[in-house]
Amino acid sequence: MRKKNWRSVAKAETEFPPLEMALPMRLKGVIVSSSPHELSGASLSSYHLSWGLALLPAVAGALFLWRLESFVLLVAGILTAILAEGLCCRIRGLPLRITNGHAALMGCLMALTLPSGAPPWLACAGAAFGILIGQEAFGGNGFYFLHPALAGRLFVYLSWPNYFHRTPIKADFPLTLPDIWHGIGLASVNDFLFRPGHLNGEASAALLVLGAVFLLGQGMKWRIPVGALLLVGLGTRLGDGSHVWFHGDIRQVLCMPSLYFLIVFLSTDPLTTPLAHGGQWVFGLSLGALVALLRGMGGDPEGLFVLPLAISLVTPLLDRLGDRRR
Amino acid sequence: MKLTSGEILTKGFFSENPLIRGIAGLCPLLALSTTLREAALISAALVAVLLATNLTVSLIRAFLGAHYRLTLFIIVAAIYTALAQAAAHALWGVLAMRLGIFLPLLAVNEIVLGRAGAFARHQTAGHSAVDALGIGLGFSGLMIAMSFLRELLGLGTVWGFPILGEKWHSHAATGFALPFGAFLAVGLGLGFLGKVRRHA
Repeated sequence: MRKKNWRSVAKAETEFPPLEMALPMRLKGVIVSSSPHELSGASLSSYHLSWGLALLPAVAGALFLWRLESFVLLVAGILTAILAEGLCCRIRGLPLRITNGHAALMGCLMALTLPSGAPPWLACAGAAFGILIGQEAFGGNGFYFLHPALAGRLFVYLSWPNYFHRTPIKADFPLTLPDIWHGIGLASVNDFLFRPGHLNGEASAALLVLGAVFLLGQGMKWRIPVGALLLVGLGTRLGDGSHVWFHGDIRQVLCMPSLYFLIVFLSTDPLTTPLAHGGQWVFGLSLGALVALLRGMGGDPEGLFVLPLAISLVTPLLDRLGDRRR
Repeated sequence: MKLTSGEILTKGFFSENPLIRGIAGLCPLLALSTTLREAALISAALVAVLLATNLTVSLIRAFLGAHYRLTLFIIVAAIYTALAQAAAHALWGVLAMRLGIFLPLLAVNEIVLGRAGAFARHQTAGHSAVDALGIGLGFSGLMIAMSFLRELLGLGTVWGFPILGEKWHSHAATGFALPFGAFLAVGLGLGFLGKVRRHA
């Protein structure tokens, strides 16, 4: 047995292929990458394309409401994410993977979680952190365990919190339902359609639900948002009306765009959520319980964006619960 | 294995650096690398305690029994830690208060006890002193580099002065000054050094 000092360990590492060999890379003319899905025709590009299409209504809403501010944020986030991923691929000698759209999607999600009217460098910083440290430091796409967009968002929020506590730019859709609808008790439909939140991606709950329905047809992990909705609803009904969300009126909660943005677009990432069905239920139910608790009792609504990150830390455990088939 | 004094000194910088090689002494590194001043003071205190403990243990190594060895190490280290603490509070009172519990904790610091047990109790006083200096400088170097980066990125200052101007100071990435920034910086730093080592 060889004496195990660090020199021999370093030597062994050069003799045996390092972990990076497992990544898609050129190996004497052979390209090793993830297996093709022959029957469904699914690929990373098509998957990210469907996510991009699902985000399209929300992006359109944001561009309509906040126009140039929103556009600059989105462009800054997407460009920085693509540049960061390309840089890492180049440094590590991997083929450029920006065409599969993952970096662009992460940059877009990152920019959508920023407050409308945030400076563009905030989106750059968040996207760069999310891609460089949240994703590439752990091995790139396919290996990260924290959602890159959320990790970048958390870093940006903790580093420059004052940009998140400003009064948002006031913007409203120039539309409301006619008064006749209010008369028959459907005031919340108006809120559902036309009331924006303060973040970039929260133009309208209806637009986000539209995207969510589209994703549902694309094989989204529907158990997570459904489980979350169940417990958010339950938490709201349990309240005595003295708290922010525990007020007993579930309609008001269901009209909040931030709810859909959180439980659909930020919590159903394929990598950081469980594959196992039981695990997905537990993920969704605990997310819903924590959202209801945090909004009911907690002080800082920005804390919502930590919850998917926190639960995704136990995803390897949740993956042991139940069936893994689609 | 016979090492010269020069080898004993330089092995502490990299090949046997307690932080890089053993991930020992992370506690002060994580907690006190927020600003350069705190890092400098805790580094100085650690070098002083390590040097004195190594010397003392080496000088009394003929009387060390197997059963009470660790107890003696801790007593020796605690005496010097108390002295270092008193000196720090007398000379840099406010700064020493900011170090909090981590200054008294040097008495049971894994680097101090580790070097006493692994090196000083077998070696002559001169070699033990050189070893303490090498290990201490290896620790201090990493500590100071880390705190320099964290203070610059997290607070926008170096040694308390906003050298890059007031605008950068007010826009610094506070995340690096927060506790999670310490883990981030240490993880990235150790990963980088490991990469360097593999290519060396």
